[in-house]
Amino acid sequence: MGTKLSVSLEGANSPETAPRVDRPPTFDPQYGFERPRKVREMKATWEEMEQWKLKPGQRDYCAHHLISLMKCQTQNAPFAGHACDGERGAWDKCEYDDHIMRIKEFERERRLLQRQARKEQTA
Amino acid sequence: MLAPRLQKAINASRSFHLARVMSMRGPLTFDGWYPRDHKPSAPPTNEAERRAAAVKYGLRPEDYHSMDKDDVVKFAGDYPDLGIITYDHKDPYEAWTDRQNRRNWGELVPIDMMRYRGDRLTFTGLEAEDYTTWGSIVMCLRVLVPMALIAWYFCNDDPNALRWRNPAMPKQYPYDFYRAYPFDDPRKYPIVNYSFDLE
Repeated sequence: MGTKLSVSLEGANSPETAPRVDRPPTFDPQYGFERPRKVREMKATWEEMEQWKLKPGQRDYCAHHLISLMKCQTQNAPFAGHACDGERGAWDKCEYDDHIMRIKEFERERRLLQRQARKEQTA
Repeated sequence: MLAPRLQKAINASRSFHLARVMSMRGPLTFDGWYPRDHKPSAPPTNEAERRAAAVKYGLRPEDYHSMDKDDVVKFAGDYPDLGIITYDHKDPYEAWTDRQNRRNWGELVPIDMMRYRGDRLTFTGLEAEDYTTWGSIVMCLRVLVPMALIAWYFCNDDPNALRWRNPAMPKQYPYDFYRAYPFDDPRKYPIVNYSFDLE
């Protein structure tokens, strides 16, 4: 609660330590981790995405869930109804986790910016 | 067994009488009220007729002025010309029978009364005194200036301006679609993204 307001005020009042949300993170992605982070794996192939005519915005890391959902819907057409609830739930969960990861990236960027500002102040 | 009324209807030789319907046609009538008593008659030509017309309309003879015959809009026989009496000419604090229209019961109605009702024209000029050039300019500006300020505020493209922002980084994609746009192949520009799981 209040996160959106505090983030908005922080962005306006202290822009030096507030992350820019219109560009990817600026720090080294591996900085500060004990072991290297896993590379995100794109499971759907380009040919599959072409076959199912996915838009550029849909060609994200959850595209394989979306493709299985579309496949299920075409198989059960025209009465797909609740037949594809499992696929839909999996896709929604993937997109939700993706958004949570974006929030984590934001928080990491914010803390690293504040840390950098602290270090510059002491130096 | 049939009801007696239905039995009667079946036995009747004529159930529909045209005269009953035809007698219902015609103007709405009231007992004891005749349009001829209220219809304007011909305009008065001599002094005796003028006095009679004044009595007919409940006016003093010196107050009765017959309407100009050439005024084809207002002329109606001997109906008197009362002059222009607007809503604003009447005292708002008098105990009118009809306060909303400032009319008393039985008061003679000017023939062009509908033009000078309370919600229509007035000739007092009181509302003209309220008009000033700057008053109307200010009335426009108090709408336009806030609209311009709001538009300026929301069109401000300063990334650090105060606005609602979500605490989330942009969505990650495996290909750089922006760089490949419009005709290039995004597969030539892959992007490596890292998850928060460690190896």
